Amino acid sequence: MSESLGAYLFISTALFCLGVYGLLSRRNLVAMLISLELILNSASLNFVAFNKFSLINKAAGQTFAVFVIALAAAEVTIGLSLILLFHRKRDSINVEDAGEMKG
Amino acid sequence: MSLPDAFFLFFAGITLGGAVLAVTLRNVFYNALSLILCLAGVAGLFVFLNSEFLAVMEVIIYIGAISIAILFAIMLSQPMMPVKEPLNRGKVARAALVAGLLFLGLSRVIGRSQWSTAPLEGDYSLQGIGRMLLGANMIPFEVVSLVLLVAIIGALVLTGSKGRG
Amino acid sequence: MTSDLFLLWTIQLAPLAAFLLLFVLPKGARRAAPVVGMVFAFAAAAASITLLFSHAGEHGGFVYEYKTLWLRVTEMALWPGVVMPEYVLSAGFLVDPLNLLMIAIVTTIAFFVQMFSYYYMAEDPSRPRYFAFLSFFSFAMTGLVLACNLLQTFLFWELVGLASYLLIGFWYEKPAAATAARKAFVLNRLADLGFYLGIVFLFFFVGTLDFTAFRPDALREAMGSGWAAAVGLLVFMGVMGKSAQFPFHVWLPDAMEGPTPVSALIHSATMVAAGVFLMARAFGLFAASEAALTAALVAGALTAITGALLATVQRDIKRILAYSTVSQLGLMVMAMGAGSPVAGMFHLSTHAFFKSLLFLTAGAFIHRFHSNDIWEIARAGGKKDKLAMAALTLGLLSLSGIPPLSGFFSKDLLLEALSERSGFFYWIGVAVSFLTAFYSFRLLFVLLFTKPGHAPHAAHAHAPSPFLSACRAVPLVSLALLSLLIGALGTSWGGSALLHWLGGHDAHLDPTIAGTTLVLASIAVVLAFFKFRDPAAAETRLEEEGGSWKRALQHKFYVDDAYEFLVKSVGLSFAAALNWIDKRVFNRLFVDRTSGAVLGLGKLLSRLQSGLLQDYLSLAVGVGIVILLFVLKGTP
Repeated sequence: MSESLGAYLFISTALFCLGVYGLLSRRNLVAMLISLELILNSASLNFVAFNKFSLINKAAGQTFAVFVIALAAAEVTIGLSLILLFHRKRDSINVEDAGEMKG
Repeated sequence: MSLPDAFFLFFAGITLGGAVLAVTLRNVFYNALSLILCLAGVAGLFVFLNSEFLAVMEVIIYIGAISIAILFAIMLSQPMMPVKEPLNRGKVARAALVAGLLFLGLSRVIGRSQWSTAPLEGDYSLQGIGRMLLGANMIPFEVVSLVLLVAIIGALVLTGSKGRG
Repeated sequence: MTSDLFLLWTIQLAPLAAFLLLFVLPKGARRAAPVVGMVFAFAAAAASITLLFSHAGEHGGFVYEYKTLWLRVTEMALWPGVVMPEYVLSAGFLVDPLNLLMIAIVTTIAFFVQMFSYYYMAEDPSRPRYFAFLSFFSFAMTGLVLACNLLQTFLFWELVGLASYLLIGFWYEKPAAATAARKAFVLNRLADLGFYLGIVFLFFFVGTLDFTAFRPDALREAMGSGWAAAVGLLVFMGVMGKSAQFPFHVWLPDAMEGPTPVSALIHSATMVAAGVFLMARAFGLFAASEAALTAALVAGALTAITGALLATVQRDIKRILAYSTVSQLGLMVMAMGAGSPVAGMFHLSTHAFFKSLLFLTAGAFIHRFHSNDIWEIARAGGKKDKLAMAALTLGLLSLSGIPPLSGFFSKDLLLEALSERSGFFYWIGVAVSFLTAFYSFRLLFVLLFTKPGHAPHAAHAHAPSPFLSACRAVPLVSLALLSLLIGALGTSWGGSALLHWLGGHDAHLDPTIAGTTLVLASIAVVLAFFKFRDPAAAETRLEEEGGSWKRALQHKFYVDDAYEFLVKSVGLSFAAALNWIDKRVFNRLFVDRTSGAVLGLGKLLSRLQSGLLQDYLSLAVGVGIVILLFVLKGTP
């Protein structure tokens, strides 16, 4: 089973959908960020899975996964700064308090 | 079942289990810890995919830096006693529906697709990654470092305290 | 006949050129405005007379058309089984004896009026506008006369109405003038509604509007007698408006607010005669139904009597002449209704000349003595103005039908035509002649017998320059001579030339009719003499309160009051009712529902914009899933 592409794709799809679920159902901004991390991980898992089973150059997928990780780090940095700013302004990290574009 | 398969199932389990916990538990601190569990599982799966370097990277960067940063943010934004986030049934139902449909759709697509196969043997070594990073993918490499720089400066600018002269 | 066409275009366009030129005239050239007007009017008049004489040798009954095809609809089947006629509309000029006579009259009088206006409007600051509008009127009138089909006539008919409005309201700062102009225009428009409906129905049934196609039998066949009557009556409504027939006559006396030369041109000789001219022009249309002719007879009779009666109690010299015009127009329309366009047109021709002469004379008096009131003019020494008095006398004698002046012959022919048709209407015509003589001599005797004394207004301070005096005198003399000439042409001494020209028989004087009119005219003169021998007493008599008959006369038979009642009580309440329906019914049913629905839809859609991130995300992912499903359906 560990040698079948399908299993890895199943796991990464599940991770992705769990991430989407979390993004849509949580009120806490940090929880949404965590769900976002799940999505990013599913992407890099996809890259590496295909790297083993479908690519000839066995370093390509890994390189891309490295990039994904680096960018995730940058994104978390900025995301958390924004969350902290939001918390300073409104003293809450509830995404429903950010609904000023209503109407 | 062979031993590798059992280990595979174990790592897959903690990945998915951690993920499930990360999105369903009502206490955000628990979510962060579950995330760490999930990421550990992913690192293990990377080992199964012959990418040891990536597994180590996952642990060091994701678990060791990103998750810690998330924990920091949680600490800074929550009161000392953890607050339970209330459950909004409508929202949860909608999210479950969307995510469920998405999962079904994607799995159907994946199930029907013919993925090209390649030989499983090759150069998975770190030297290969390094050659790619500093050879063909030099520009993305430099750009990513620039992105990281910008992110750091941005974070400082956004949250820098006002009194600094 | 290219020379014909050239002359026709000159007649048509010269006044238009004057109009346009006068509007682009620079400030410095303002003094030249009357000259521009006069020159182009002279060109038009010369061209008309040339055209007239170039065809003079031909036998009567010729018709030339210079027209182009404008619209043509063929083989149109509205519903199965019904064959529609072919619809043809053309545009162009028509040349036949009637037109040539009319155009000669119109342009000649227009020229003389322009010349007189030079004298009359010498001190008016808005002279260029005046001459421009006067030329515009000439343009519209010539278009009306020369038109080859009813629609073209209608177009110029409306333009003539516009010119009348502009000229009546020339001194627009005077509220009375502005009101009078509006009254004239609105009444005309109202009557023209009938006219236009008549044109529409006529075109629908017959397929063409060319005058050459108006033969009574052909029209009756094409439309059926019911529709022929309806169309005739509707078009007659237009005639009633333009030619001031009862009850549409109320605008003409008020139109005297305009400058007197305007009254001379438009409201005596040309525009108001356009209705009578139309009856002659489209006589086939009216002759196609008895109803239309009878309506004309009755309306003309009412008009003639009303005008004559009201003229006997007026103080204002222009109003006397205005009511006299109303009355004479009534007589002309009666003649048409009695089936004799020749008699009507003959009287129109003589009336045009002597009435415009009378109006210009009135203008001469008004300008010199600064008053419209006959007693005031007389007291200021009116009778000392020899030229004006001579012209006035000549005109009034002609109006009263005293031989050997032209009015006698034309009125005689007219009464003869009436007697052939119906005894009743003949006696009405005779009564009107009696009244005409009465009020004419009333005017004359008041001016003659009043002792000149204290004049409230000083006579004209300085004598006008020789050129201006010429401009004053020449039209008066010329019109007097022409009026004599025209009359002569209609008699056996003149070879009955005019009558032959119009398609009638030789002139002959029926002794009974002529005798009756002369006797009655003499009685009228004597009566007027005794009543107005002492004009001062007559003035007091006029001013004092009288019985109900006198009050009726003073209130102009309450026609204006009837209009006011109709408009205020009927019209306004109807409008208020419609307003209520519009606000309560239509707004609620259609407008509010629609706007409510749109607003509701908008509110519904704005709920999508909740401002919540996760709502938007769910929507996005949902759409993505839908697309995914579609893609899945496509693949095997």
